[in-house]
Amino acid sequence: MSLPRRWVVAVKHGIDVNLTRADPTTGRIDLARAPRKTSDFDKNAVEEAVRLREKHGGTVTVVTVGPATAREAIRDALAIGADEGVLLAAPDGPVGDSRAVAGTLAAYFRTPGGAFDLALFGEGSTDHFSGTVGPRVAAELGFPSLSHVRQLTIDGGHLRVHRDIDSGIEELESGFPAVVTVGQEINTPRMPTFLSTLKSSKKEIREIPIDSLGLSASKWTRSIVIQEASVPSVPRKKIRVSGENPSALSHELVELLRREGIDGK
Amino acid sequence: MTERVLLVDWVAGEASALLPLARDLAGPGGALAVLSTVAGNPWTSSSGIDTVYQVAAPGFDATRADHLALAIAEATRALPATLVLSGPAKVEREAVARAGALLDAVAITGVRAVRVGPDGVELSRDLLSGNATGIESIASRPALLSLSIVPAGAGPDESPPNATQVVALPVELPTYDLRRISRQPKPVAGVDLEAADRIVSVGRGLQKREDLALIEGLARALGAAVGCTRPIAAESGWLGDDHWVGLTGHRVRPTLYVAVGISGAAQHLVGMRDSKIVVAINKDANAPIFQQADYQVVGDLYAILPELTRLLTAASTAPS
Ligand SMILES: Cc1cc2nc3c(=O)[nH]c(=O)nc-3n(C[C@H](O)[C@H](O)[C@H](O)COP(=O)(O)OP(=O)(O)OC[C@H]3O[C@@H](n4cnc5c(N)ncnc54)[C@H](O)[C@@H]3O)c2cc1C
Ligand SMILES: Nc1ncnc2c1ncn2[C@@H]1O[C@H](COP(=O)(O)O)[C@@H](O)[C@H]1O
Repeated sequence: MSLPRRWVVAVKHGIDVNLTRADPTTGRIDLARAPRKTSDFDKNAVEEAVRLREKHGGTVTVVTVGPATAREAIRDALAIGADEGVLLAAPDGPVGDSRAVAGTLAAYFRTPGGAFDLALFGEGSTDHFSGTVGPRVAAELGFPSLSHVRQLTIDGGHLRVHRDIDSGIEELESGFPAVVTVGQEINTPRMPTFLSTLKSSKKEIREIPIDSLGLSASKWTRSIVIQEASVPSVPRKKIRVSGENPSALSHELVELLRREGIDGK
Repeated sequence: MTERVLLVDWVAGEASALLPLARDLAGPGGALAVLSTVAGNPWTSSSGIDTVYQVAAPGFDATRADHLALAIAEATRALPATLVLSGPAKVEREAVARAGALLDAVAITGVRAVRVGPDGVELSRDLLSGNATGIESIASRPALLSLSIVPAGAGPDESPPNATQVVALPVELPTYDLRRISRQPKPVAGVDLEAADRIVSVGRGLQKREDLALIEGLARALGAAVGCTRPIAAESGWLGDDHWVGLTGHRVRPTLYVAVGISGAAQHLVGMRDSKIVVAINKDANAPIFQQADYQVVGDLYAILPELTRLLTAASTAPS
């Protein structure tokens, strides 16, 4: 078996959730105009791929589905250390529609230039957090998906991961090609330096229009529509428990809870 | 509007909590089926269920998302289902995603509520890391949904008993190379936060692992389960992931949620927002958690918890 050398990372130029503001009167958020940035866990995925290349050689390619502005996510990844970028250009395409995005990525990975040994995804995107794009791509291509990976090594031509399931930690082994998804615990992405940013600005970003991928139009037609996004609000009593000292505070709280029907057990 | 609903029963019996919702969505004249992945399914005598698809494949492993996905896809085609409902476990979420690809269908996770309206399936889910709630609609079918929170209080079963048909479901398993080497349970396993009626949850306000005794003491006095923020589980590893509340952890809805030394980041709030009564204990009067609390206790947890625990314990042991 030949050694794995083609590492790809799918990165999303998503909504910057910390800079998003709701309309103060309606509580609604205008998603189309929200500021954007690279999805958090995708940087962990890029960092992990760069470490794999440093250890085992090969090339790290980052790929994103989005409009021209999504190049910014590719630039971020190149600054961390990825070698090349691919923009699957969807000028007004269905970004955020997991079925369509996964279908587009899978179509690209089926092209001769898109083949990989290991594809890395975030375990969920910061704005949509469906966690479905990675496993979907794997299933479309008929590959195993190893999700919620916390530790990753390559040993004797095999991929070994520790991954987080609800009831424990699993150790899995698989062959290549494979798809993994990662969260923030797997590593700390390095901060781009002035030099790495300068160097990355010279790296190539290839642009491929998604309608050249041979997809039927229905494949990237949006099937989910976000009707409305608003700031959640649950009415709360917001009663400040008074009391000069811990003892008085505790007495007061116990009394308040008792009135709610909550006693010690 | 009628639907043909498939319930995924991943852990034997788990789907019973989804049954009232499924019945509702199916409506009179719809269809309701259960996918049972383990032998000896408890469904044959349940009323209102037309069909149980019992996976029949040697080597089938329901704890593998890829196996489960193939079974979901087969059962969806067999019914054929218009809506597929599953629970929140990581394996279920991944399986729903993979099944979505196999069926070229929409698959959505983190669903909090779902209804069928004139424009199709309408669902509510968290967006922007918990900073927003979204209403999304899906026009195409089938639609595969993983619910992040199981609807509370299964309503009484009023449908008349009917004959449930059990159908063996053959599944062709994948041939690629994927093996489980080991599985280690988390440090403190066995809490079921989703089911807990009271939760005492702790954040980075706690200074060291040994101080967890304070939290456990208060939890014991209240008969509560212990929860925590992501850093306590994922960074410090003081508690297992079973305890972790939030966007990437568990979504809980107890009667009482006591947040101790928790700042109240959006990614945490999204996991506990559905709690009935929220108490926050934090030494920073401006901590965002206070905006989400019914009772705001400003103070040092190290000073308050021993006293609070003592009072609650005394109250419960005092003669009435
Ligand atoms: C994509 C993503 C997903 C995430 N998912 C989750 C998730 O699922 N769950 C989650 O919880 N977080 C999640 N996070 C992390 C989240 O953003 C916050 O960083 C985290 O919730 C903060 O945890 P904390 O409140 O314990 O710590 P901090 O924010 O550090 O807050 C500690 C609090 O303790 C108080 N305090 C300190 N000492 C005392 C004392 N002696 N007495 C009383 N109070 C004291 C302080 O005033 C402070 O408010 C996620 C982040 C990202 C980017
Ligand atoms: N538009 C996109 N382009 C490239 N990768 C994406 C895109 N959207 C999502 N992904 C990848 O899929 C992961 C999970 O996204 P999601 O399913 O939306 O939670 C992200 O962390 C990215 O790795």
